[in-house]
Amino acid sequence: MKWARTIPTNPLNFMQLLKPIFCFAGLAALLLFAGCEDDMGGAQRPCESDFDQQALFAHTVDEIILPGYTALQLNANNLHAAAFDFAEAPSPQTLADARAAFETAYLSWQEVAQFEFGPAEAVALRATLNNFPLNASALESKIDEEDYDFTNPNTFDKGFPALDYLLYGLGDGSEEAVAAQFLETKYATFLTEQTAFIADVAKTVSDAWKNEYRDQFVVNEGTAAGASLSQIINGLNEHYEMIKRDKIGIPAGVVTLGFTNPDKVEAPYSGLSLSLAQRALHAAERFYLGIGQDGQNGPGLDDYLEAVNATKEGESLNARIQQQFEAAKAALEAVPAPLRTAVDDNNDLAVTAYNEITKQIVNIKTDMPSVLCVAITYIDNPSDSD
Amino acid sequence: MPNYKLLSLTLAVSVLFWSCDSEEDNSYTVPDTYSFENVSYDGQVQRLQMLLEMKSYLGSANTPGTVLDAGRLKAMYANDAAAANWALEYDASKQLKSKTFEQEQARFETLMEAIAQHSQSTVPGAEGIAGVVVSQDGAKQYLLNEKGVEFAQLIEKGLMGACFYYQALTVYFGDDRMNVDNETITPGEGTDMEHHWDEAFGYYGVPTNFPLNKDNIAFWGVYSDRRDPILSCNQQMMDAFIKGRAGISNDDLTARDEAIAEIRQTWETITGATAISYLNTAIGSFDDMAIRAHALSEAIAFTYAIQFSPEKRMSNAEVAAVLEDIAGSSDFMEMDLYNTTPERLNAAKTKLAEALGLMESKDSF
Repeated sequence: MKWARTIPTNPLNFMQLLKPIFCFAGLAALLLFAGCEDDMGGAQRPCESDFDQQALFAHTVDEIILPGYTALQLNANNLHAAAFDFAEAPSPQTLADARAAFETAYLSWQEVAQFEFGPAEAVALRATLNNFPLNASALESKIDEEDYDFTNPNTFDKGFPALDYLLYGLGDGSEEAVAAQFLETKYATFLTEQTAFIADVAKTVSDAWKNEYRDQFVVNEGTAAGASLSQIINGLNEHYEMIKRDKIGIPAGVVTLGFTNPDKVEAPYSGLSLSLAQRALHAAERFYLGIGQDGQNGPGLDDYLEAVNATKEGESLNARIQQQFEAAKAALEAVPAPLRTAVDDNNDLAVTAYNEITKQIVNIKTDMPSVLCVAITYIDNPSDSD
Repeated sequence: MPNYKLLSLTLAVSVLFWSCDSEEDNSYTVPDTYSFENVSYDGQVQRLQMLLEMKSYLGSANTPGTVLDAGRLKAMYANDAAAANWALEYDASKQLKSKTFEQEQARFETLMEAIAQHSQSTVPGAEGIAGVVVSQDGAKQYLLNEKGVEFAQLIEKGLMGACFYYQALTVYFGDDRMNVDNETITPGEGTDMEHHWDEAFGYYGVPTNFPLNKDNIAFWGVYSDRRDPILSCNQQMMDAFIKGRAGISNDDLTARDEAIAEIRQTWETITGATAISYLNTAIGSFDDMAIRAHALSEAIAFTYAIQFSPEKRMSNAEVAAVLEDIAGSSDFMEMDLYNTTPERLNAAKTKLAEALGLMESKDSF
């Protein structure tokens, strides 16, 4: 449009030029406005949609969140019982039982890790239970100092990663070596203090939901920050980004110029990292779809997007999200366990899984919040400055 | 009536220029040299100077009987002034170690401990024996480990890659340092974005009116200048740095991003061409062990540097393959330069040249 700058100012030409220019300008303005509109054009005033938010919230709590915490609580209790038996009489058999209980509890944690709002946020549940990668030497000091405070959200010496180390990583990791280490009282006490804490905090969060938060969550309508819709969308995204970055991306070296970080996987000692990531990804998909613990598909964010006719590049946004969940799951499925060795031996597969998981971010973190009028409020990955 | 028409035209024209993204203003002046308001990169100058001091200390071990202190080397690396015994003064907050690619920091300390060991040798170096090896003409001598690797080069040139090159191309040109405030001007430092750009420039190691002025060029500036006759890279690098800084100061982030891509590519080409140049030296003087070992240790370190850019044209695995050609291993501690062959060095050269578009000039560096 640089030609416009050369419009002659001669009054004779001026009159003749005025009309076509004005017409053209009007047309151009229309085109420009059309160009500005984002691609969510299908939605008609989505912020005022008559989608039944309360039904979404009630289903989400009653069929997904609460059953998730109930399962965690149950599995944490079983873990504590097994850990207690093992600590009291360390043997390959009691260790095998404790490991099995650990695996079940850790997997059930993945189901609820994305609900870091309300009661979970109040106790910083995710940081308390699953900060990784573990700082093993800090953990050893903690054991040595008989420090049984597990509430500091900023340390990397506790929670499930600590159990991963204690049950699989001591000595050469063999059942005999691990069991032998637990003849030392300090290790035995630390283990049961830690498992007791997990069971307690799971109960605390579960009770808080049941006793009061459930009811206030269900009626907390709207799209503002703090409204239940915002909590759901932010919770889903924040944890989804952790799956992408912390569980897969960092170990695979995608944020470190291709230099891999095999020791930074979630569960390096047990080798469960890939199963944990898969479970977390499935849980994110079920959260999005509104699939309850019983497998029933109720109101979810997918239905909300359909209700407001959200489209992207002429396609249903919901359909795109569902397709991308499938692609991400398939790519993650293709990575051979354990992840710790796969990031080096099959780096391309790990990077592909990361890329497929990443492709969903624009759908669920940019497009979905935009069409549902919700703001992303969490702060992602702060960086230091020189 | 004419006034009304004039108003209409003004409106029409302003609508024409209106658009949802603010129209780029390409009317700003791009200077010929890196002369802008509020340019400051003192931290980079200090780090270059620290590496110069470390280089000088490392070089002292090329004189037989000079023993290096690993503790002092590590103190220099971490700017522990009490133990570093610096000739100059540096800000306590400035160090080479903390700015080195995190996963490689420990590797450099291992190299420092190793070279201190090598320097304790009291006999000439030979296969299986660490020590000083002298060139056939007696003019050059280098401290090599028992496998013929000159660790001083791995440390110095390695830090050029894992610290300077990494900081400029990955850290300062990365999203975290470029998606920052470009409004608030700190006196002497400009906006955050301007300052980060200037800091990246600082690691290039040249004066602001380079290549006209080549006084005090250091590290990358030196190698850029050496490759300039064939690559014409001096002016390309300066033009891109100037373009990016002018773009930032005029809110033209498209120009900035183009400049980032140009600098990453040209700098990588300089790096690869320098590795090739040293491979050529080693091939040409293959039977002179001191010359071969010195040149190949340089070639190894420059090849290693390629890994530290986010837009690299070689994967880390491809870099490792080149290192394996040169030295039989991509692990510094396992490398062996006594038992390499000219054929392997040529294979390494071809891999680098193919990846970096240097096939036509590879024999000229």
